[in-house]
Amino acid sequence: MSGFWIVLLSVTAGTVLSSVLACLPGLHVYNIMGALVMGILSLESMGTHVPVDVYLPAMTGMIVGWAMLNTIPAVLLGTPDESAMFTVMPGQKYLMAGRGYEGTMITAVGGLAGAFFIIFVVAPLAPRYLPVSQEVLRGHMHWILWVIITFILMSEWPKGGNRGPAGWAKFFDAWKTLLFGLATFLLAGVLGFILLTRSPVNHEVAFQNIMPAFVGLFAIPWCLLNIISAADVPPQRTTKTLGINGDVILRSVWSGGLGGGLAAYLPIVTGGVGGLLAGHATAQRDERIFIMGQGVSKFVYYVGAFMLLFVPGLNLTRGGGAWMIRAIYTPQGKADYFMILGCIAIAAAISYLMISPLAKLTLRLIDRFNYRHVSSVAMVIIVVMVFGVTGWMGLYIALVGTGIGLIPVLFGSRRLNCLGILLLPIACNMSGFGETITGWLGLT
Amino acid sequence: MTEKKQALPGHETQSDEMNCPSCGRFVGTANKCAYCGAKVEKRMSLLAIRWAAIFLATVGLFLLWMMAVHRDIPVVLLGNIQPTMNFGQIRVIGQVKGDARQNRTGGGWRFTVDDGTDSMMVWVSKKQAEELAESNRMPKEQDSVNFVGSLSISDESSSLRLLSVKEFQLTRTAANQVQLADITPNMAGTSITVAGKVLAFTPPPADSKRPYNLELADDSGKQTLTFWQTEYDQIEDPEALNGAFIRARVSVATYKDELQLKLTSGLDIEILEAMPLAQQKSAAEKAAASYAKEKPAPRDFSRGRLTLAPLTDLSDVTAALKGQTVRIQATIKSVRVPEEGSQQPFSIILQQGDATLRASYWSSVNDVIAVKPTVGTVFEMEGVITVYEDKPQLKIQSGYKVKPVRDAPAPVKPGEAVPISSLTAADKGKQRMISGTLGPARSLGKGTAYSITDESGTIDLVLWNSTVSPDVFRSLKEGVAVEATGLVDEYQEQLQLKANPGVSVVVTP
Amino acid sequence: MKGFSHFMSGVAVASFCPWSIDAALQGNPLFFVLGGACGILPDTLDFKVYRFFYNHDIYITPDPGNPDPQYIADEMARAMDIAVTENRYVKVKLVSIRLGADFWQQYVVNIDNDKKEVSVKFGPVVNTGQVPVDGTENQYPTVARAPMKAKLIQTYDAALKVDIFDGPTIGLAPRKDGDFDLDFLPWHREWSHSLTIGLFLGVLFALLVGIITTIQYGWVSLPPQQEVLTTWAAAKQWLAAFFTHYAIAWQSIVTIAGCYGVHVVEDQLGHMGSNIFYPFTKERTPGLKWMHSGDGIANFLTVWVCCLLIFWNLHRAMPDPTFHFGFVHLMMVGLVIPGAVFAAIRWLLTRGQNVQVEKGDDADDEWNELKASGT
Repeated sequence: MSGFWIVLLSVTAGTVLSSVLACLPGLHVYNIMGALVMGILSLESMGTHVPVDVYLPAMTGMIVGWAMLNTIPAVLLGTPDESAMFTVMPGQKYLMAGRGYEGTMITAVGGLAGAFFIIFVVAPLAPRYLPVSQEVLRGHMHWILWVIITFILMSEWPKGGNRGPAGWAKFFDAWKTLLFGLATFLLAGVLGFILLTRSPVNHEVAFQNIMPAFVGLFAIPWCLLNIISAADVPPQRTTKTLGINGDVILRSVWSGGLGGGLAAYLPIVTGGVGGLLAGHATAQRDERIFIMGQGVSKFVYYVGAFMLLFVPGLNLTRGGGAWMIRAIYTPQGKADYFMILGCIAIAAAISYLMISPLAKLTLRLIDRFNYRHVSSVAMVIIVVMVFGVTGWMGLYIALVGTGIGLIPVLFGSRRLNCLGILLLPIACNMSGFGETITGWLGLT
Repeated sequence: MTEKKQALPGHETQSDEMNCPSCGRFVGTANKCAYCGAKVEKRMSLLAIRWAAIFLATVGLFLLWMMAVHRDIPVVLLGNIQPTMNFGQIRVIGQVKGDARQNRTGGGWRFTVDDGTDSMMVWVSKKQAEELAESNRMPKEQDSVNFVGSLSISDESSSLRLLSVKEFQLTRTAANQVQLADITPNMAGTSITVAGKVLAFTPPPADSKRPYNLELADDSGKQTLTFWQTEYDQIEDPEALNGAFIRARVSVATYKDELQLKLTSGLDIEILEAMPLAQQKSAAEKAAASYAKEKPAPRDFSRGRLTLAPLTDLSDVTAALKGQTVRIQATIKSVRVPEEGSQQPFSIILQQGDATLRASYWSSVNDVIAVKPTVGTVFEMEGVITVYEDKPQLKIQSGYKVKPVRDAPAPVKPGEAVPISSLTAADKGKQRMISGTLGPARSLGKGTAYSITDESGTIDLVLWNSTVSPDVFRSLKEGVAVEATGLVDEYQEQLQLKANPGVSVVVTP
Repeated sequence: MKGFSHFMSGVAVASFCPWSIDAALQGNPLFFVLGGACGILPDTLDFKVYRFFYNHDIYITPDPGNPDPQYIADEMARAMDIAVTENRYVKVKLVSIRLGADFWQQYVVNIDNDKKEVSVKFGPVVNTGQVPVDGTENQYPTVARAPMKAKLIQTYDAALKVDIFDGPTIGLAPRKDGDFDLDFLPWHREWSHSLTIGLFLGVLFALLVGIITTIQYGWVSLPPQQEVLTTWAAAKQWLAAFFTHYAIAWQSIVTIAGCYGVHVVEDQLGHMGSNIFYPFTKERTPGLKWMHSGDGIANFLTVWVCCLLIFWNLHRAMPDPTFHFGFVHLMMVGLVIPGAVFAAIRWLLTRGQNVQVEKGDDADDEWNELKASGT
């Protein structure tokens, strides 16, 4: 079979697989890719060599499919319980207004626009301009991270203190949420120092060191709160039109592309942080732009970060997917670059076409099965996966992460503060005083 | 004055707990109504999760921290490292290969460690290097080390990042003592011990960044030791150096093609009572000698693997061998060195009969190749077969697996030496042999040029690094008489003789 | 201007200080962090500290279960009454009405100086993005009115719209002619947005750094003298040693004062203005009215240009760059060309359409933008 057909079939298979798996809440594509890498290495040790033309397009398809379709569980599989949670996420607003399908599809349009942005704007310009910025910013990444951390912490808005006479009581009522936010950041930071310096996870699966923590910080709280939620999903309706135009798409690409691009390029900065910065920079008030921009940002972040590994002459590893690929394969110049771009285009098209039927299927599913049961099943899968890869110690780390990840949701601070798990230790290491802090903690 | 209100979107399916049971107003997550003061009961599952969150985030994290602090990081053999260990923290016990070197960007240092199963580069940050230098634990060749590092594994190379200076254990091994006259640029990158009398100690001018120079002499000759203010500050009694007998461990380097002996730590200078005799050994040398006795036989260049890969004919190397490790012996047909500052690999074309094969390796591999491949020489190389555009290539992952089998046969000399003045533009492209005395060397970047003078005239003799044998370079210096064979060429309207590949310039008595 | 614009402006100002880049290359992010933090600090001091301690004379707290516009109108009129009768400054707090985690009952207070009355109307229910919920626009059609004793002069174009999060404060200041001035958010920029405060904070920080330096490295020490110096030469030598020994301290003063000050300068481009030289000045100096604080394009351009300036300063500081480009080249590639392409595509996509770009109200724009951006 010629290389073209192998690549085409592989990317299609990867896209379809991850698109279906993306509908499960809490499951991350990097978990699946990690399992795949372990499978490839096991096969190689048994003498069976998996061709690059098979696994590279498949993994590309997986990342694209997941980036596009994980909107479904994010919007449709989670009802905000206003007696338990402080804030309602933008996608959830659509769900509670009976417009969950519309919100999902608007986000998907954003993802497709993100694919166009990557292929027609980023891809041609990256080999020319990214080496320039790499050279200029060399040695400065540490303070960029510190500046981002400063903004994340300083820009959080107090959610209380709106009632009552002036004084300390009002001040503390306001600062309660901010202090919980700071505490979340610091606790996550300590967890990060432990995992990056003296992780209790077996060194043989160290490439998934952080996975249990991330599952605990983000995925398990999501599933858990769904399970105990006392709110139900209101009746949903599907719509044939989305009420968007070219201008909305363009402005979404502008804000989402900026956020996702920043997150893809800067080390350790994730999509959420990039989205926060771009959101503040572009400040679009239209909710459709906000939702669509999130779709663009997510796509550009995950897929863009992966693509950077293949940019000729750049040698930039960003994002968990790229790190996993780098351990088993070194990109070989322009041929690989164009192959990846082609795979991104094909995968984006396939996954976009799949989102509408899968969204409708999910709506039928939650109509028939209580979303709490779906979340329970998802949580079992996640727990089994964590245990399977990292054992009891990984499970314990996930438990601790769950505790930290629940704090922002239940006590009114930002979930973004959980990213202190990577931001804080790595910023300290880059600045050269990481070992001082790990020394104080007794870890070194 | 109220009007009939519709339920807000999503509120018709919300729990009653979001409203005050007494006055019906929205209270959200609050346990007490801000309007009427009534208590708002929350369900047990929610209260349990709130408390569980606080407990896990504090007590749970504390227990995790305790586990981590008391955990012993396992010793892992470098030969057993797998890609799934990426980002893992491991303990390595091994020997240092070559003195630690500063990175070109100046941002840190690196050294290579070998634990008997494989070798790996270890990166040390600038701050860590300063702390190591302060405590005289900067790794030097043959030192034994025991440290904890964090793995960074990629397809092409793996490395470790030093995690803890506090846990970095180093057992210093005395460097071989060498007579000053025996020191050659070939020793660059190694550490040696020198001893002698200080003839002159010259500090740099005030407010200048130039180094201190210490002129040392022994029975065989003289050399200059170089060090900077940091090292000077570490010397116990610098005032006593002038005229004293000293022993010092120095690092051999070259600077602008000149030999340089660098003192990397002021603690490495020892002031002696008298000139050390050649047969007398210091305690360190005796220890090193006894250590050498205890050591097993010197290793050959086949480090990393205990068994050699099968020797394969070049004609048998096909794409079907992709992923397999093979060992080949073939003649070097061409060598392409990457451009300065670029990230290209070294690329070699190997030939055996009619079959050819491209081999490639990165600069980190090239750094540890003892004898560099040159055109015409026969080399043995071991590496992994990869396929690029359906053609097999050999990817070399360890410089220790690249060694010469034999030099290229000396080329046939084209008759007797001719006078230099007889060479004209008509001789361009022809092989000629000349003899004469060498003038000073001039670096050409990728080669060296000497002016060669006989009784009739002078011409430039050009030797390229990629083609001429390193043994030839080692033997040449200003003032020696040589016989050179090569191709007559012209550069900037001046005739020159480009030395043939291999051993084409020989020193004549 | 929005918080992020101020933040990036502070970082950009810090990048112009050569010691910032030198320190950064040594692994010290202090000056850049100070730059960003001080850029956003004036608003942080106001919105996250001072406003919770600002006492009000009258709290207008509508009942979410029983929204009554007449109560609000009457309370407003009473506040104005007190201001006129007692001839004093009266501070009024308009409290917001929360109906859900994402829902707020909006109400608007209008001042009609011709009829000398204040009118209040409840608007739609809005979500936290200030988007009205369908079907709630005319839930409360009644307009309540209450007479005012005098005219209320609004120098700052304030529409008193109360919806999300915290409600606004207004200050009623009696004038000599019997009317009174309306101050919107009187506690905002009352003292925090002042160049003198920036300098003061810089000096405070420098003192702290100086104390730490002295504890760690001792007092200033001079090299041994080889010759007798004149008094002036000795003083110069001592000053040079002092400024070297306490370099971080004086560099911090410059960085903090500069980055804090750029916030004040940027806000002066708007409408509200600031009390620029507090405590030497008492009132806010009105702004230049060149822009609204919530203007999307102006804010984005500020952020983007700051990023380019930072990039340029980092490039300038490189001793031996591989890539060479000038300032104009950078601006063309980074700003002009992409901006032109974006504008052209936008024009192509929107020609023939009536595109409504939301314009925030001037008075509550920054207030609402800050609240919305803080979620």
